[in-house]
Amino acid sequence: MVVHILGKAFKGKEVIRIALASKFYGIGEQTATTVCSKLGFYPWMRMHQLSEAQIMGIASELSNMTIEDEARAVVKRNIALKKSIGTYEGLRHVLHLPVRGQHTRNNARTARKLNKLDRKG
Amino acid sequence: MLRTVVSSVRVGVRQPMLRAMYSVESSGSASGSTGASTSTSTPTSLSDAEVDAYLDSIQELRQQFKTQGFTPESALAPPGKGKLDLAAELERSRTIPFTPTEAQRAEYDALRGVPLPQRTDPVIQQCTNMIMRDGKKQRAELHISRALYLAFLQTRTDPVQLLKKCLDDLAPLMVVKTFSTGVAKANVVPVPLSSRQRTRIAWKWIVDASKSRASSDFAVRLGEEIVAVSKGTGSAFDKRDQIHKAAIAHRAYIKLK
Amino acid sequence: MLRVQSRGICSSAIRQAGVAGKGKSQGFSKTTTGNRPAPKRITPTTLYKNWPNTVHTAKLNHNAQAVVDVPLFNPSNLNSCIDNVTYFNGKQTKALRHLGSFKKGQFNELFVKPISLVRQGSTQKLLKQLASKDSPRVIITGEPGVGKTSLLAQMHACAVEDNQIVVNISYPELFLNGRNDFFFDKELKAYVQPMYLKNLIRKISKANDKTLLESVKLSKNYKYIKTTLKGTEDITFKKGENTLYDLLSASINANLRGSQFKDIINELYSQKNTPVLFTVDNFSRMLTGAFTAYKNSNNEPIHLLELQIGKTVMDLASGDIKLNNDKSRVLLAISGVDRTNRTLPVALGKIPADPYIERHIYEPKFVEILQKGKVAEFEVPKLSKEDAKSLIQYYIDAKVVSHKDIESKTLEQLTEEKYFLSGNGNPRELIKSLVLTHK
Repeated sequence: MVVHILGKAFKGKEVIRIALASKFYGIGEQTATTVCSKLGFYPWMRMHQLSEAQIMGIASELSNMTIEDEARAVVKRNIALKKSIGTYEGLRHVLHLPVRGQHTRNNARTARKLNKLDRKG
Repeated sequence: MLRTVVSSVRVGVRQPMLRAMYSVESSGSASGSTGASTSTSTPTSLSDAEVDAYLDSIQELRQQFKTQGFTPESALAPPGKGKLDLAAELERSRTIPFTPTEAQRAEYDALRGVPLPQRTDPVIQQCTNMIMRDGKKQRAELHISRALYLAFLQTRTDPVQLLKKCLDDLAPLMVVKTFSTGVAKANVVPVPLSSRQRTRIAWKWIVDASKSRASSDFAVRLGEEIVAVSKGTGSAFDKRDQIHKAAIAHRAYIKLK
Repeated sequence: MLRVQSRGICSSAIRQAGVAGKGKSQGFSKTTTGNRPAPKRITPTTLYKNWPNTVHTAKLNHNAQAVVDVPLFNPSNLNSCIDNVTYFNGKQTKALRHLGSFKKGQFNELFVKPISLVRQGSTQKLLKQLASKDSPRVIITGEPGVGKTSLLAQMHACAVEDNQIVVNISYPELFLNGRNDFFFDKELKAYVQPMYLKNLIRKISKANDKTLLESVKLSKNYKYIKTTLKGTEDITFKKGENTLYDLLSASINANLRGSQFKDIINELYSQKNTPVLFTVDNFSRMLTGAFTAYKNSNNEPIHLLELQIGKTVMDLASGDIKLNNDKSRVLLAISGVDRTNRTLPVALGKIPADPYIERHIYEPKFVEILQKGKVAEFEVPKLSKEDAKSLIQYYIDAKVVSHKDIESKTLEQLTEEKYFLSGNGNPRELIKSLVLTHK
């Protein structure tokens, strides 16, 4: 049975805390475990065991956290701030180059692909 | 007294268990073919009392050397004399001939022709080595043991003999080899295989066929495959038949030297 | 259930088998071209599990050699079967199967029925120790493979013959590893695990004789509120009229299962007529894993003593729950599977306590519990050569020993060899050297 939480679909047999960590941007292993413990789920509980009330509980917990678009917006805001101030890091983002002092003679492939002003997040 | 005890001892082990094992091995190899047991003690085994006496005398000597120091001239002297002429004693002991008793002679003759029992079965060893990776022999042995255990549970016959029979049935007797002559033509010649080569080919087929079985455990897949081959099912038999056919077709080119 | 699944898998295998590798990978794409292996055919007879599970569950003893003249395990007349390999009789076997006394890795699949060697050094000695009333709580220790679980199985059989009620927890791991649901019960002030308790209650009711359970009349009135789709109804049990069996077989909602379990334990230990044998196998898992995998609402790990079932076991071990009947006993067996730490040696007084060691290595609460209950140690010794000889004789009769080992050796020589290979008397290593060593 497919379970929907905040617009995302989960298969019934997925483990709740692992599924939440993998599907939501801004939730990792730690926050997923905290959320599940707070709501009283046992560590290896599966999605199909959730009642409606429990699903609502997860949704309400998640909606209080900065995840998904909000979290991405935070990242974009931070990069924009760096550029607007005129920092070196901002410049690197604009030039699609590594920000944290990596070598660029070889191996800057990920930076060239992902470091943008309007970074996807 | 000390010297006679020291010279007459051959093996002194305190644990009677190991001594018994030693005596088992020697009696086992002697009576290997007859199958009857010899429960009497062999000439080379000692009683517990003798072994203890030997060890006590060693302790005595140790004490003596600690307090009085090692002086072989006085320590090894016979009870009458005070000192010993070591050089003369050495010469004398060299000239004493060793004459074996009848029992010792008989034991030597009996064991002369008997080969040492093999530690491991050569066929099983070859198979284990073939599945071994990165030199992990114990892991390979575990896989084989578990596979044979499963084969035993399903067939209830001796799994080692079952495996040998399977390998013998599955392996081709000859193989066609292509030899290049000087010119463009290639000579296709059937060539006989040694037993080791046959085992290798058959085992490789079994291991390859086991890949298609459902189980995450290699031992289970192998065991299943061995049982299937013993029952006569399996795609490897077709491979063998093809090779035999090819060998028969080219039987004119067999070289007998 | 497996057949339906396997039929489904078969048809899906046939459907998917025709799909060849399709789609081209371009640039830095991660998908490999068509390298996914075809799903394998699974029929009802294929062995698809790993090795230990396969040999335990594939019913591989159906072709086993039947051995004649094997005595039955008779605890009331132990001298008739001492130093002999025995079978359990039908009643004992049924109880032991429900209790979970026959485990993986015991090589039971080699024989028609699970066997049991009645040893002077372990069976007789433990029965003597248990008969004397000074230590009703015993912990069974010994090296891995020496026969602790088998000894526990024999004790279960003894209790069954003696018309005692047997409760066995064979794997504490199951309620400690976070794979069963749990909730905090406010009345009991403990974490209750309904799925695990349901299983345990079912095992108690199936393993013990129904008439024996019905002979225990309830000492109090109990009422449970059951909510069904039609509404709520009351399940009531009356003192003196209803029996323990009714309490065990009642289907009560998960939210009240903790109360049900508490009431069952109360009933078991408030009555004096029927003795109760409570055993825990793999108790070393509880001693060495003080914190469970569960987390409370503040995301802090839950201690074993906060779980209802954990607290109950520890109360029995410490003597907080009084064993009313003179013959009631608590047997705890450790296992080589679990990790070891300093808790048990300190509790048994073998090494001094050091309060500065970290809790992972030494748990003072458990030491306190074991010492309060005056838990006596019973160390299972290794096999003597005569024990090994009778075992090997049985193995030869059951046609389990290989041809190479029998053809040129007498029983004495074979025993000497295999006794040495077993590390001078470890039963597991003995059977492994005969059956699982092919070189």
